[in-house]
Amino acid sequence: MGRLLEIRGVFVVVLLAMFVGAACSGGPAPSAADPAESPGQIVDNGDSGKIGGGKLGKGKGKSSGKKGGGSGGTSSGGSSGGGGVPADATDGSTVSATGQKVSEKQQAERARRLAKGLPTVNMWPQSTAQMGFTDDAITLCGHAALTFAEAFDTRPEDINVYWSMVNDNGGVYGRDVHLTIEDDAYRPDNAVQAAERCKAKNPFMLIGGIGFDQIPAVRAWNEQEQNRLLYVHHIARQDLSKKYSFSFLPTVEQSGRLAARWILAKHKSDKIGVIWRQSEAWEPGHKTFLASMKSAGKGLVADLPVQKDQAVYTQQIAELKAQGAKTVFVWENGLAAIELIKQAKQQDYHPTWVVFPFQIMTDTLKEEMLNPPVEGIAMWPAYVPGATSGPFAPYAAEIARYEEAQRKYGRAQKGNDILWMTWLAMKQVHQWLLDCGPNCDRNRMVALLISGRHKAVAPNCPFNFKANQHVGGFLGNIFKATNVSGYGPGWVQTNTCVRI
Amino acid sequence: MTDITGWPYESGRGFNFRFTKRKLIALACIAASIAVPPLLFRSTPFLPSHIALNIAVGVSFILMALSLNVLLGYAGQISLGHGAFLGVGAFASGLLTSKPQLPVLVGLLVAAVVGALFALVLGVPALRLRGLYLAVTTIAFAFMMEESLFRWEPLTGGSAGLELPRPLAGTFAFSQHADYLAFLLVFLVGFWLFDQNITRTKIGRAFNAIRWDEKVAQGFGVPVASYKILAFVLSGALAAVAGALYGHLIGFINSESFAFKSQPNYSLLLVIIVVIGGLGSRSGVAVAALFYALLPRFLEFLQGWEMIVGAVALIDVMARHPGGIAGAVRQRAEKRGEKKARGDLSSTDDDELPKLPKLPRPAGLPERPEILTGSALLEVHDISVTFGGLKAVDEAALTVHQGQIVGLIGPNGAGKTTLFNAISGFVKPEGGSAKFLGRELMDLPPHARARLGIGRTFQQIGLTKDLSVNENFLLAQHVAADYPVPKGLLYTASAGGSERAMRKRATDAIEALGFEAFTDTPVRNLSHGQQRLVELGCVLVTAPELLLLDEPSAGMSPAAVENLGERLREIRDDLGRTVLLIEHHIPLVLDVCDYIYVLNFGKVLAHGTTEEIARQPEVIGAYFGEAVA
Amino acid sequence: MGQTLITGLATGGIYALLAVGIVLVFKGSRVLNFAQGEMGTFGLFIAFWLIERQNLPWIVGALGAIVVVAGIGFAFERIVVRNMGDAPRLSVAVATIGLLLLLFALELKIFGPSPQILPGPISGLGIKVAGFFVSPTQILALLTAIGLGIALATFLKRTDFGLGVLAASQDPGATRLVGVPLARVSAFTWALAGGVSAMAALLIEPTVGIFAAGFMTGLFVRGLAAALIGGLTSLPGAFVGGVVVGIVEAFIQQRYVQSTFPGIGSVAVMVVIVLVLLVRPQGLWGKAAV
Repeated sequence: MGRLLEIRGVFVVVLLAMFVGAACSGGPAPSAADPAESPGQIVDNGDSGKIGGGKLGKGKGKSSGKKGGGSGGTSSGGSSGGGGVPADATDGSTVSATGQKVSEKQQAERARRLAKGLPTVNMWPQSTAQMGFTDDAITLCGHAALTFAEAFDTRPEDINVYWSMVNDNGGVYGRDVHLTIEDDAYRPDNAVQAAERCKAKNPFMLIGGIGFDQIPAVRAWNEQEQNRLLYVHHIARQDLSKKYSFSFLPTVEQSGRLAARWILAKHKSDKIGVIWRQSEAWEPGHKTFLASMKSAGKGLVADLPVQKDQAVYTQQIAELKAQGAKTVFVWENGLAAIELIKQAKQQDYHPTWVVFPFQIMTDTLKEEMLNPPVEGIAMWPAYVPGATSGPFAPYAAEIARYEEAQRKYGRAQKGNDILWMTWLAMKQVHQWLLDCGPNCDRNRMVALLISGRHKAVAPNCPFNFKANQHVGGFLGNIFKATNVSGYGPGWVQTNTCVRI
Repeated sequence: MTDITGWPYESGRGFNFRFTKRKLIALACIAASIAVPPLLFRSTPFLPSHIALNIAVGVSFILMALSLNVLLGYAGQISLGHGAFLGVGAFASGLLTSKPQLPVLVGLLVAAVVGALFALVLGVPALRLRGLYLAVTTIAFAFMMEESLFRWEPLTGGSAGLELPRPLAGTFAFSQHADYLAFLLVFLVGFWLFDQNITRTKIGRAFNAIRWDEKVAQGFGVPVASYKILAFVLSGALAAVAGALYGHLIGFINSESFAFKSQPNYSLLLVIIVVIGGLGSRSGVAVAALFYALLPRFLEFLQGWEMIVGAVALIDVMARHPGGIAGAVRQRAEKRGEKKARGDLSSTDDDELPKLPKLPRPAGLPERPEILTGSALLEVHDISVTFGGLKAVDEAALTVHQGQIVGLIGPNGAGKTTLFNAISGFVKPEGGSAKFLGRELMDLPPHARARLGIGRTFQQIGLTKDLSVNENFLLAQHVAADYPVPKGLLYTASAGGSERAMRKRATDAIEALGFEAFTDTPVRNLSHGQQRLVELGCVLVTAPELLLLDEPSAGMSPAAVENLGERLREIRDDLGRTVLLIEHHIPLVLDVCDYIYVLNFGKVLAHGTTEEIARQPEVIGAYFGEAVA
Repeated sequence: MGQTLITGLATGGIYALLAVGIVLVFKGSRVLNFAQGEMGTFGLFIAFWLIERQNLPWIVGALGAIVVVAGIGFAFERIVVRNMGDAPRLSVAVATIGLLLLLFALELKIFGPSPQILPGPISGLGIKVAGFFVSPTQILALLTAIGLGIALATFLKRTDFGLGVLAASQDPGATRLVGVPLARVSAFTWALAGGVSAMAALLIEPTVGIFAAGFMTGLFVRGLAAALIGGLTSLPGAFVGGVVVGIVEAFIQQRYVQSTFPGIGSVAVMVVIVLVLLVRPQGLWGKAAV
């Protein structure tokens, strides 16, 4: 017992030592901003009102093979960046977002043209507008459910394949792009903590992965932060009060509406049921689904709430069967849908399921997905490993590029749909960075969005930020589970970029 | 004969020096809490704010662990589902502060109330459940919350959860982690002071007695049921506030935040912290909580290992403690006490028992009717107790007159202790009555009987053995602690005054016993004879009218028994008390008793004055086979 | 109505299987094994590793899982329960909480937090009863529960060793005096309970589809309710209790399937637990307990 007291004393000493050690080990890497400022503050240099160009300061002049010298080009309109960042492109070449080898100077010229007449955005003061964007590196950080990484066969190394490829080919205006992912464990409280860890790295952009529940939490957190991050996220419910959040994809509300439109278009004569997750973040989609159904005069025979991780859907299946529902909209995540479909099969119940289509479903349930074929509403193009013909032909080249990069840079060395989605998202970000130019800052990134000058990169569906400055998505794809020759059951795209 | 005047003790007027000093320290801590974190984290570029966040998480863990410590560490009531209270508090505060945007302090207050209410709901069935069944009930309760109420979307947002904003003071928002850390530290000081008020008043002592042995607690007049509920309510309220504070730190709480399957499992993690690290002490709990919160956050390679180590340690601690959780959760710093006592323990000589102290009746006890010498103090009629078909006591009847020492003898298994238990209230007889000072005892719970003026000793020594001698003397004065619980929690002037009086009485009693050296020694480190003396002293300290002594001479040497006889006579003659004595030691019985009852097979076989019984050696010889000395 | 009954019976079989394990340990050592569920989950991970990672056939993986978990039960009994001899039963129960946490932490450490999928042994539709399909694995679970219950009851009452188990639970001291090898009895009980837990997990998982650490927690609580209803010391009681819990839960869930108030079935089960503990702690069949 006395020994335990001594051990307690040792703990106290160790804790204190750790605290001191952490304190003395220095904070995060110096950011592009003035190192004398601590990152968490907004410092008003008194310049924030300044518009217009003016010469930028000379670069820090780090010598390396890639860097050129020269004075910076200016951009008219928009706020100029802070000092210390070379403003010009190098003489080197890089890869464009569409995969061609291009010269940086060309890209820079294009960016200059895009920058003319851009609307003024002053969301970030000059001192922090370029945080995360330095001479050598662009820092990106994201939160995602790494907890499910194994289940979905996506490891952090695989997620970074796009940027590994870009960095290998010259980077973005001579800078390496570093992306790290923090685990949010598919929960909002963990997501906020993951965002905190990201923030400690002073990222240029915070990226939010899939998670209806997590994204609103991080959005709210971001909005309260003194130094708000540029938060770009996956599908979430609409919230225009969050000024620092942007999504290229449609909202949760729109997703519900798309599902309703699709079902009304294809299955209007069936009895319809819906299974929906009880969550404030999912509810808007359920509501829009019901509203769309109602305004089309179509009633539902079953409207059944379920819990996250409910795992056992016996009662819901029994109810759906009893009501004779022939088409069921599953407003729950992929893993839950797998459990639901599987359990329904065991009960000899085979409606047409309309789900969020993930590869893990077709890989797990295989033929059970085909009778009748499960349908999916998706905000990304369909992907089946190795499939490049038929519905995949329009973007077969991109698939080939992606799979080759996975083989070359990825740990798993094979593709799956989550990594494919990530690839396409990063591709879009790449284009965005290229559009922004060598002296990019976050104000300009936003300005490019709301001016409509930043366009979607195929095969991503077009987006439009002019109407709604924070949500650009307004189109979706429809998938169908089909037997893909050479692979087996997989998701195939039947309708592309459908208006919601 | 009877002396009803009590010591004059100081009322609560005037400042007590100790009170002021404690206030100063508390104020200094609060000032430091407010000042240090913001300064530290704002002025140094080397301290990133996520370190403040981690430390704040650590402080939250301390608050959570302290709440469970009140229930498990002090009162010994096992709760395996404390996460439910954390969640209740967080959601209650969240509901009020997110959309309605009420101030965070209001949210915390409501959280405390809601936590207390839920704890009340859990505490009531808990009264009837012991040990294992209580554990199962707490788990069932936690599961019910988790699978049902916490998932109810209109209330909690379901899997999306609720947003818990940072507090707002005018225009100053506590959004910086360092600022919120300051906020938390102020609460930590508050929790700490509150906890101190629990442990240094009758509340904490009562909790410890309940944990150790409920009968002992009842014997000293502690209303066990009420205090158990109190323990639940206090623990629930504190846990709710801790959960809410944690929620406001993180900013979002959802249905899974405090669930059983999540990482960490707060319910079980808190059990680990309290049982292993806590060992009943506040600071131990705090250190263990910090360890669990901070180590994996600062040393990433340790993530996951801390739970493995904790689980193994829990198994180990449980395996090593034959005293069960009651013993496991509280082992005081014995080294100091042991050293002191060692010198004296080695020269233990049970032959030399010090004199028992004279203790007049203290003020603050309920009024008792005037007692005439020789009047019937205790009248027992037709008490029968049956255990599963066996009649342990069969229509026993006896009368004890004021100023007598009455002996109750009989072979083992005769039903003597059972009869005592019936009189004390630990066993429910079928029919019959027992009147004390004209009042029917069978209507009263055990602690109320004690309050009437009945003191009781037990064969296994009726003390809380892991508390010190001093604390036992304080516990024994429970009926004299005449301040209500809320005043005790706030340690008001009247509570303080009462406590000081009791401390003085305890010190006097210990001095009279000559046990100053043992003041802080845990009772279990004393010899049997010394424990017996302490027990007698404790029983006498509130000057009960009637003492029920259960084999006080057991385990004593012949010389010590003779000494005991003298003490008993002193109790009767000098202190004017009445004694009902269960004894096996016939010479002692014949020596001190005025009247004797002989019990066997649950029946009173014979009774009479000592001379009458002594004249019937067959009665005694038949049962004991000894010739009368 | 009939359908709900069948659903209740099917799930009741699973609960009964868990309850049997709980009762077994309680009969053998008077201890409530809180880790009963997690031991099964651990077995699932072992089976997963053998089947999915080492590519062994399902039956090999299943047997491996059962053996390993039985070994864990055996080891725990020898290292911990044996040495706690006359300690209060609550202490041993808290030690089993330690085992629960240990297994949980090991699962996370070794396999990570990601959910895994383990395909079942038999696929295809089962028997159709009252318009409702009972899958092959559910039938298997029910049969296993019944079979195990009968086998154990017979074993305990009819064989010497079994009688030793019964005696040991009533009075360890006397049993020792009579010459029953208490150590072997106790170890046997715990090992068997571990094996039963693994069996239960293997039979449930295919129905659900996906498992992760803590998978069996909810099922354990329901199994506990079942064991309490039947009386912690009665094996047939455990079986009946399982069916009762399954049916009650199924009916309540069916009645409130459209309701947005979550977990009504769980609430009902918990209320049952508390009522049983308050009103009749020895359950319907058991003897007066702790």
